[in-house]
Amino acid sequence: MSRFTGLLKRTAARLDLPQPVKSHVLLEMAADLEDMFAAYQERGLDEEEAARRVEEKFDASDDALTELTRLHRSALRRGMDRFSEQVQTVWEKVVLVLILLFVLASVGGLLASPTFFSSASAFVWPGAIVGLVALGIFLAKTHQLFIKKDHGLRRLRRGPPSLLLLACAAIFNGVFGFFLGMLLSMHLMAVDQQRAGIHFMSWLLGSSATMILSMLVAIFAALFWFVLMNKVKRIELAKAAMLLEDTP
Amino acid sequence: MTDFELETQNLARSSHEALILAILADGPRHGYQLALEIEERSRGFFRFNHGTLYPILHKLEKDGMIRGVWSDEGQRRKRKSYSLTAKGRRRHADQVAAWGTFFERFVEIVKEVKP
Repeated sequence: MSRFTGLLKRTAARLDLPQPVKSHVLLEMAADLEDMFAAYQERGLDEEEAARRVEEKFDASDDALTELTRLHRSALRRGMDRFSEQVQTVWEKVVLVLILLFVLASVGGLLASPTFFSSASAFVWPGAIVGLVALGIFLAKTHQLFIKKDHGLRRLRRGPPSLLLLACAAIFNGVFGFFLGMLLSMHLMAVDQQRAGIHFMSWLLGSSATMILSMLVAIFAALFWFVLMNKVKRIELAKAAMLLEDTP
Repeated sequence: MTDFELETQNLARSSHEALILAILADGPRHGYQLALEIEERSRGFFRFNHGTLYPILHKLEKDGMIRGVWSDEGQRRKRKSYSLTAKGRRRHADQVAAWGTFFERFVEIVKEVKP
């Protein structure tokens, strides 16, 4: 509970920013207000006068807050945050989990078969490595947020954004492997026309397996990001709410 | 050679940026420290409201001139301190030169005594 809760609440009401940016700005302001209050007290001002000076000094004008809002309107970030805000109700989460279970059930057996990796193109391995890295990040972050409960603001958002990058890398790997395989098989078909059908089928089989794995990695990396970002957002909202809670 | 140009149409804003970069050139500071130090070092001539300070700090951070880092000092003591980046140091040097030229020309004109 902050001495400047009232001031922060008024500022929060005028600050038209998406979460978690709004929480970050408010937390920064709250820390500065408390530090400035302490600094004035160290200079010999009594509590009341120090608080009055701080409030006077803070005085965030409408122009300044509008400028702050304009600065933080990043289209990509806003889109990402809003996406994770979209799926909030229980039934939406259930539908999401059911879809993922269906995907897993339909390709799980295929992935587990011994012929899957041997028939896939060489691009299946970078895709698998990307998947393992994404899983590693997810497990490490899950341990930090859910088990260790290390909710330090400095480390809170570290990690999840790279999952989206890995999802993109997996898709890129699959698509690039698909077209490169097609090009190579076309060459082979042109040179060895008698076995053109075999070359074509070999490419189709290898590329399909690679694409399946790449898409699966991308879906799960995005799901990991979604789960972690929802948790991160809840933590940030709780911190901001604690800051703005009513004084008795 | 630099592509930095002083925004003479918006001197107040340009001066605020220059002051913040100048203070940060001495080392990392929290937002409130910046406001107090600017006021003290200018002997009360420049008075910063926090409302004015945050948009400037956040813009400088977005432009890569300064870096904001959160520090954990207990449950209720999350603080953000700012430091100058390499890009910010170059901008600071450019601003020192640009403001020097600005004041030189300005004084030349306002001090001109007509016969």
